[in-house]
This record gives sequence, structure tokens and C-alpha cells, in this order.
Amino acid sequence: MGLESFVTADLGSITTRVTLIDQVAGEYRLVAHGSAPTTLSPPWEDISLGFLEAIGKMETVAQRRLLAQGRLITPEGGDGSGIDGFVATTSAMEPLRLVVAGMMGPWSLRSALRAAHSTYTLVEGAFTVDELRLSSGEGLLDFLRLLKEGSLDAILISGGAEGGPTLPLVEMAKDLALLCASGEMRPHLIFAGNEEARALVAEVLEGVVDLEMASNLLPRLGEESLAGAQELLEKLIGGKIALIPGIGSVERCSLAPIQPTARALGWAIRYLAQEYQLKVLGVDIGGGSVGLFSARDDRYFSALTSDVGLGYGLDRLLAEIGVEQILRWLPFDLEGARDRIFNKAFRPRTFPQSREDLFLEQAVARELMAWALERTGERALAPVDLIVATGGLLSHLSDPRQVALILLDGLQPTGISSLALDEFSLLPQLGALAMAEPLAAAQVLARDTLLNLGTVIAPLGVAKEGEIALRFKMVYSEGGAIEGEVSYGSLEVIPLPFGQRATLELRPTQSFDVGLGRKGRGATTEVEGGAVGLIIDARGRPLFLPRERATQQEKVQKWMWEVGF
Amino acid sequence: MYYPSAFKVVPYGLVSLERLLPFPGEVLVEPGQRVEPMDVVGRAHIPSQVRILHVAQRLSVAEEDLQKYLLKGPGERVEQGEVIAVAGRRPFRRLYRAPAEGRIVNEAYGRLLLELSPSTYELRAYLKGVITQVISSRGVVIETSGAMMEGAWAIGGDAFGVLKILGQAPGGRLVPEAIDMGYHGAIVVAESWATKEGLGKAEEIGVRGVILGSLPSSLVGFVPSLSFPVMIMEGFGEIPISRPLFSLFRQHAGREACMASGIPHRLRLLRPQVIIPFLRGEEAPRGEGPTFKEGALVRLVREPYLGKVGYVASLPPQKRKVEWGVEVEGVEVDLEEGERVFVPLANLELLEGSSL
Repeated sequence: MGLESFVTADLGSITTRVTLIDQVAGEYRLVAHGSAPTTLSPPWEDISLGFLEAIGKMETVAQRRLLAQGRLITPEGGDGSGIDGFVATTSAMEPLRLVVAGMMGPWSLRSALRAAHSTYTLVEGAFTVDELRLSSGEGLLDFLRLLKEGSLDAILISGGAEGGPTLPLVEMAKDLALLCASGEMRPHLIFAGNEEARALVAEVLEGVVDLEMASNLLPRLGEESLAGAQELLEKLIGGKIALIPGIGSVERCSLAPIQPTARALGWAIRYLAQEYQLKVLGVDIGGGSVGLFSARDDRYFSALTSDVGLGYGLDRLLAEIGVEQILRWLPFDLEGARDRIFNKAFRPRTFPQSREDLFLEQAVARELMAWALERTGERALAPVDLIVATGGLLSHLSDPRQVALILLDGLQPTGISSLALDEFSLLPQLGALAMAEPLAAAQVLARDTLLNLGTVIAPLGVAKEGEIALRFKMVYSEGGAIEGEVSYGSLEVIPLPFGQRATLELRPTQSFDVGLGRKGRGATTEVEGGAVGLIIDARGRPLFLPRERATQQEKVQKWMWEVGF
Repeated sequence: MYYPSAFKVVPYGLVSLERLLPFPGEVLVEPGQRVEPMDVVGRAHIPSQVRILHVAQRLSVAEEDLQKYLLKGPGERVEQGEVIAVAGRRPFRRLYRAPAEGRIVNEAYGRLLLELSPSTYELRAYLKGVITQVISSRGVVIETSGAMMEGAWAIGGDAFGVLKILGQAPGGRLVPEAIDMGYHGAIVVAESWATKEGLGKAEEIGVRGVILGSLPSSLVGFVPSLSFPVMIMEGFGEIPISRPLFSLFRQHAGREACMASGIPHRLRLLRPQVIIPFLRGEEAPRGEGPTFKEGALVRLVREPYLGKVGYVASLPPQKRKVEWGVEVEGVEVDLEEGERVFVPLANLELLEGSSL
């Protein structure tokens, strides 16, 4: 007999969420969920307290005893108490502090940075061989300070196509050996460069650092292979998880080691892409990090900003983009907005109580998404079939139209995409569950996880405001039809409730492309209903907001009205 | 019910302070030892600008043979232009001169690591008390009796000095006309917030630290340029110090105090502290855990009630709707101004220290 019931948990930097999964009529289903603040800061400083609190709340909801003497009851008893298995993810650890070094030219450093940002890291410094050999300046001092403080976790070296010269890498290794031998600690060093240089580099660095070899990040020009380095970085993050106060008593009940949230969420996004043959983008707005997860045609890519989330690190976001960039999303003037964002950064667990504070957090969420996308080096989001949103603020929102508009404004998708919300922030928990019981994860993912918000059509093109961008006709499968036209600069929401399907005929004007690669080309597609319906976003890409504050506010308000709130 | 964050205020009791070196170094005191504020309790070497000198390459000698040619080695100081390595024989001698004054830190692979201006950091106790713990090569914990208040945010390190309340400040603000030479060497408490000019004047006067109710966030980039720490008790903006805290500051004006900014931590909010050591003639009690119940003193930390203080009136068992529609757990609070309001649990802090 297999495992029938599970508790899954995601221990976030601000909120701890737990879920009860059990068999109902022969299928795994979500039975109950609960949440509580994460208890990492004083006066608690023990993550297990918030975890037990969340489980306690879930016991009340599910009317089922899950805890005995402060521990999960396993296996499930004959009286229905307890569960058969438990798995968990966390993003509450300190990120890896990393220095990245690469060969000359931007490519090798760029690949190393992409590998680093695929998981929870803070890149404290980035050098090319040249910069290191010039060998002076603030960067070098910062590196030495990190070594002296004992707070540098790892060095990631990239560079050198296969068959290329090995000497520059060996010289860089010697410079690093000199520096590392002067520090108070022995950092990890991941060498992910030219394989022919491995033995030579090892000879220099052995004994000075804890050396690990990963597959070459850039084996050939234009070919990138991040997986090897990612795997070793995640292994090191396992060490960081172990340092979370109180994590041991949570992990003691677990079927498997507690995983980083981003890794488990990545699994869920890849699963959705493979199972339904879709190009999927996942976006996670957490309290301490923002993640983008892209899975398409067997290619997977994740990008995390571990120093900024919708709480911790917002002061850094403000320093980078400025408050005006955030305020442009508000349909009203807000006195002291900058101070409010700072207060959120230093009291990240606080909750927007007033409507104006909520709008401000939503404005920040839009900019966080745009900023995270920009940090991947992409100018715009490539067309995707499905956008899945997860994370604290988005799942708290009671109005799905607000979630949809935040996604459209922040990510600015083009073509035809579906929007979905992970209402209970369950995706990472299912990613972890998949390691123990893949069938349970797949069944809950298929039935109980995603709230379908609807379909968005975002034509690409430019026209004068008010000119027709496209005409449409939607024939409902249950009978009836609706047709109309959408003008450039506006948003249109056409009702299509849950469970209903329709055939949508799109006829863009000569200046617009609905994602078919040619302007003016029409299309007919099947669409499915959702909490919002069908959204036609004819505002153009990139979105244009007037500079003048009053007109800016008018426009933002108009878009909100057009979506229906 | 789950209790909210606790904001520690100890009107009188045993309080302790962790004093840490910025880099691993040497701890100079023992557990049980009494210390005065200006006593040096630890010492550490501070890394400064470094340069990697590729000496073997420049002298055209094998990396592994460099030691044979060195005139100065690790640990030794060198002057700018001083010959530190020689290879070859006259008339073909090749000299390597130090590109700058400094100290040689290390030698490996034909390279030298030169530190340009090495310095030593001395960690002072900043508190009169007893060493209760030595944290190996990192610092100490000092215990004393007195008052302690946690701040909301601070920057600029630690300070020690006499606590002085800004007397003639308009609206309790630290503005240039509110501060004069009488505050030289003091830790200055302003009830409300500060202007850039006010902080600039404090710098000219030579204060040791500034404690404010709040700070406009537009000054966050400016504050690190000051030579003294700045601590805010409530948050960012223009909010006065809450009544219970300000009355404690008033009570202890003229006493020596220690400001500790704390160490920034990414996902754990470790708050800065102000400690005012004194003896009341009775044995100082140890702090007890917070009790969250009806009548508990709380302060509200989010708009629209940011900076207000009140007492818990009731703990409703059911969630309630906030203005924009979502249901959350919260409590009813009687504000000191007389109004009764509902506040999400996440938006209040329990003021630990019941006798306020």
C-alpha cells in the first residue's frame, strides 16, 4: 500500500504555508490549507514555531488531528489522525554569497551570472581575468573583505571554450589562490570552465579552497550549459537551509531533505510545460525574492533576484529604479509614498490595510516583475502560452481582475496567452511532493492548484490612440456570439465564465500582429473561460504612460475601469 | 492566538549587548570581568586596498624560485620605491620596486599580495557592565542593569555618550536652529524627525549620535556620510517618537547611553538598541516573555495608524475585513487618542515592558 495522505509546506521568508493532501474518491486532492507568519526574526528565532502554528490552524479547518507533542503524527492512524508523509520547501535561508570570475569578454561572465542567478545567490563581485590581473581597486578589496569576514560562500569560475587556451585560466587561479590563502576561511570554488584546464586549475587551488568541478558553462560559442553549475550551487544552498534556526525539527518529519522553493517551483513549471505541451512562464513575487521560471520546448531557464522581494530589499529597488517609476502606476497622488515603501522594506511582514497602501504594493509588484525580466537581459517577454503567478501579494488579492492587470502591466506579454493564479502558493509544495509521490503531485496540480484567470490577446503594433487595432467575434460553445472591435490604447474584457469554451475569431488591422509573425493576419482559436474572461490588451508594447502626472493617473484609472475595478 | 512581533522596551532590568568585531580578531577580556565604556575589549586587523604584484613574471624568474630573490617577505612593511626583489648579476641586475607603501601579506605562485594601508580596529565596550560571554575571535556579550529600547532602523555603527534631549526644537525636529555647541559629544534625542541641514549642523558640532522618531527616506542616502550613527525609533517619514518611549528618554536625560546599530541581516530583522545603564538600588529583574492579551500595550506600524500607540481592547476570534475586502486576523485597539480601531495582527508590535 502506497502513501495516501501528505502534509506539504513552504516556509517562506514572511509566510509559512501548509497543505493537507489526501485521497478522495481514489484521487489525491487538496483537503485543507493553512498559513502563519514565519518565525525567523526576534523574539521567536525558530522557524518551527510558525510551522506548528500553521499546522494548528489547518487542524482546525480540516477537523483532523495532525500534531502530537509538537510533532506531525506519521503514519496516518486508524482514527484518521496524522498523515503518511511530509515534504517541505523553503526560501527563508540566507542566500549564497558568491564571487563570479570569467574569461575575457562579456560572454563567459554573463553565463556565470545566469547560472548564479538561477538560484538563491547574492553576487558580491564579478571579475574577468583582465580585471583580476590589473589587480587593484575596490572590487579586489571587497573580495578580500568577504574572505576576511568569513562571509564568502563560494567562487564560481567560468570561461574558456573547449579546445581553447588554458593559460589565462591557470593564471587567474593563481591570483585567486594568493587571495584566498590570505583570508580567514576556505571558500568553495566551482570551476565551470574549459575541461582541459581542470587538472591544471586543481593543482593550483587544491588545499586553498574546497574545489568542485562542473561541466563547462560555455563549451562552444553560442552554446550554454548551466545545469552542472546550478546543481553544485543548489547543493551549497542545502548547507544554508541547514543553518535556518529550528529547521532541524521540521526536517525530522520529512520524507526528503527540505528543498529550495525555487527549485521545486521550477519543477512544477517544467511539468506543466511538458504535460500540456505549452510554453510556460512562472512568476513568483515573494517577500524576499522574485523569480521568473521559463519552460519551453525542453528548454528551462530560471532567474531569481535574491536581494529584493515585495518586502525585504525594497530600498535597493528604489535606489535602482526611483520612486517615480513605481508611482506612475497609481491612479491618485499619494503623500509619503517613498517613506511607505521604506517602511515596508524594514517591516516586511506588515499588511496593506488601506486601499491606497494596497494599490502602492501592487504598483511595486508591477515594477518588481519588469525589473526581474530586465535583469535576465531580455528586452521583452517572448510569447508564451501560459503565465502562472504565485507569491504572497498576488494570492492574497480577492479580485482576480487586479491580478490579471498586474501581470499584464508588469510582464507585458504579447500574442495569445492564458493567465493562471496559484491561489494557495501550492506549486513549490507540489514540486517537492513530486520527489516522493509524483502521482499525488500531478493529480493535485491538475485539479486544485491553479485558478484560471482567462485568456489575454495582446496584439503587437502601433497606431494612433483610438484607431481600430483588431476586430473579433467570439462564438460561445453553449450558443450565442459576441463581436466587436478594440481600439489602440485600450483594454477590453469580454465575459467568458469558468467552464465555458468559445471559438474566437481575430481580425487584426494591417498594423497589428496577434502573435502569428505577420501584421494583419487573422486567426481563429479556441479559448477557455476563467475568473476574468477574455482580455484584449490593445495598449501596445512597450506600454506607454504619459510623463505628466495628471494624464498618467487618468490613463491608469481608465485601464483599471476597463478591466472592471 | 498567535502574538505579533514584540518590540522590546525595558524600563529597568538586566540587559545585555553583543559587541562584535567587524572581522575576526583577538578578544582581550575574560568572562566575569567588569568593563567601563571606553575599555578596549577586542582588536582586529582591517583589510585595506590590496595589489597583486606579479614579481616573478617581471623579473623573468620561475614562480617557484621567487623566494630566493625576495628582500622582503610576508609580514614586512615596505616603502614606495623600495627594492623588494633582485634577480641577476651586475650589470644585468633586475630590480623590483614596491609600487606603493604597505605591508606584504602573502606570497605564492611568484606573486606578492601588498596591502597598502593596514590598520587596526579597536572594539570598545561602550557599556559599563560585566562580560558574560566571549565569542571566540569575534566579540563579547556585556550585561548591565538599566533601561533598554529597541529602535526601528539605524545606520552608522555604535556610539557612547551622554543622552541629551533637544530642548528648543520646533515641532521636536532636529533643525539647525535647534542645536548648538551644548550638544557637543552627546547622543542627541529629537522627538520628531530631522532635516538634512539639521544633521549637517549636528556633524559640525560634533555629536556622538542622533536618535529620532523618524527620518524622511529621502535622507537615507545622505546619512551614511555622517561620522555618527543615526537611529529612528518608529519608521520612515515624519513621525514623532511614541509617548511611552519618549517619556523614558526624558526620564534618563543626562545619563550615559550606548547606541548599537546592530548588524544588517537579509531575512532576520535584528533591531538596533539604546541601552542606558544605571542602578536603582534594587536587584534588576530579568525580562520576561511578552504577554499578548487584552490590555496589552501595542504600537501600530503601518498606515493609516503608523506611529500610534494603544491598548488591546479585544481579540476577536474571527477574521475581519479590511478596507479593500480581504479578511485577516486582527485585534481591536483603543488608541491613546481615544478612538477604537481594528488592526491586522501583522501591523502591530507588542511593547514588551508593561510598566510604561
